[in-house]
Amino acid sequence: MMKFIHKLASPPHFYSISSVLIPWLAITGLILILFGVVNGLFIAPPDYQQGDAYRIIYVHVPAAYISMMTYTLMAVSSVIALIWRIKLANAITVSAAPLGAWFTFLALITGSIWGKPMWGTWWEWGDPRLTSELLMLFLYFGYMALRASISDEKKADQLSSILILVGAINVPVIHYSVEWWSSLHQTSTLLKIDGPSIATSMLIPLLSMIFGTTLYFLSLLLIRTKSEVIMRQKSSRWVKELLKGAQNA
Amino acid sequence: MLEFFSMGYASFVYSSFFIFFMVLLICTKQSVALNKKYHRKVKMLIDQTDIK
Repeated sequence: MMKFIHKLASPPHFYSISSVLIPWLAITGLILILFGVVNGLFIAPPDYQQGDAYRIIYVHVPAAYISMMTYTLMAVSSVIALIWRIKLANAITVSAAPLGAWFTFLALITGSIWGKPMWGTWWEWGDPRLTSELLMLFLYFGYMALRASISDEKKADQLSSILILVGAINVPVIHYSVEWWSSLHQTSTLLKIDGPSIATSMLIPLLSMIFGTTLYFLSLLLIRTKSEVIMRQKSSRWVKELLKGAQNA
Repeated sequence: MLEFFSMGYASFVYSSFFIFFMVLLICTKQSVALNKKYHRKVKMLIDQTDIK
């Protein structure tokens, strides 16, 4: 197992595997998103309380889920980079940050658009879910700003990884905020011990959107990580051979 | 077609979906541009060292 992980984490091996995976992830993701959009907008019935406004969940939930998943991924790869010094882990953290920031922004905007008809306000500063999600956006910005301000790559990797780990405490706070404190935001509908409290006709497009967006996100993450790997390994033999081979082809 | 716009809260729902696809488009464009930029940059560096 460890041998397999080490092989997978080797930059040339990662480069060739990701090159194969990217188109498959992107195409499958887009098909699932298309299925989710058509079913979510036109086939799923309106909610008995929220009417058609609930359809915003088909874009809000995947965005919110990816924003938290990305930060968790960055925290895990920061630990791996700090302890085992695996080079690929740093490349993943760097590549995930801008995507995570965009999806957090998307979750905040779509949440706000949902809030106006449902809660009567675009934004509520006292709400723990909203403010902790906004804090995560600032953590992404902080990470990117810190990295950009340090010219030494090794130092930038180490210090920004520490920042990510400090901010990781915010992820469970976001997830459990609706249970710990009184919030305008509804409690979890999908991740419940007694199963999801949503009708199957509404659940299927939602799951399709979540899986589709995740797969598409992964394809983008692999594109970025591949680029980061090649930049970090620019003086290695395999990169020279790879790029010369591409030039001659 | 009329049903498409007569959905309750149509402007809220459709604007959310529009922003979702815009973000996907921006992320895709940025990722592809970064990939091209880094490949070009590394190729240039390799060519320079070869000349030396």
